[in-house]
Amino acid sequence: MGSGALSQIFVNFPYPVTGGSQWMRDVGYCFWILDIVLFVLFSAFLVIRYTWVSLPNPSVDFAVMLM
Amino acid sequence: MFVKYAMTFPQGSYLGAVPIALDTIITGISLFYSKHQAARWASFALWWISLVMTLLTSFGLLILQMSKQKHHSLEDVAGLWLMTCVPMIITAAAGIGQLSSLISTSENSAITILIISFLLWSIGLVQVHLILACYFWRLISYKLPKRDLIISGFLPLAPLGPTSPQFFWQRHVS
Repeated sequence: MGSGALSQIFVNFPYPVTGGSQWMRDVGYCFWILDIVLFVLFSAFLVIRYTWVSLPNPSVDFAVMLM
Repeated sequence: MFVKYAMTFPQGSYLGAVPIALDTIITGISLFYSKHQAARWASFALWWISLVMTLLTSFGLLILQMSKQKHHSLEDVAGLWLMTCVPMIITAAAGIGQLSSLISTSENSAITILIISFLLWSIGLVQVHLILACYFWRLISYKLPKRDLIISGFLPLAPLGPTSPQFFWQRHVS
């Protein structure tokens, strides 16, 4: 969620940065890819945690990680 | 086990982070690939999935909390309670964000998304402000939240931040 929001901030940055439009868009794109990777990873953890593995009292919450 | 976890309040509220995270991906598709027709339809389809998850989180969890759980006191209210209604505002923002590209592909789909997004946004905003009122009353009455919930004090920023650009975009697109 945080990396996706950062991506949008980089792409929609409202103030002019000299020569910045392209590299900021590229940085935003990298954050967006990171966002997808993290989302898939933690969604997989979530599914594994609650379907395949039954461990008592999860101390780490993967939905929290998605934030 | 999943249902048992979802019924554990307020930890189950964190499930609201899942549709929010998906919404950022949808917005990214609209930002970077809006010129491709396949990408427009992909973001359209993903938005409907996100909408279902949002409704399950926002209303399903609320019904579970009301029907299955022990009594809550005002002292239990924390910023974390907002996590059930924040997805509605973020999903509405993601819907509005893809309108400008989708409208050239299918006007009917764009209008459908506009109407549903507006409904989501308004219901979400009402819920957020209801909970915020309880939260401020709780802060006045019982002072600061417990140590493990104090970090959720930043969560009121999550719905209130995207609300202003959302309002502007709706006016702009309409």
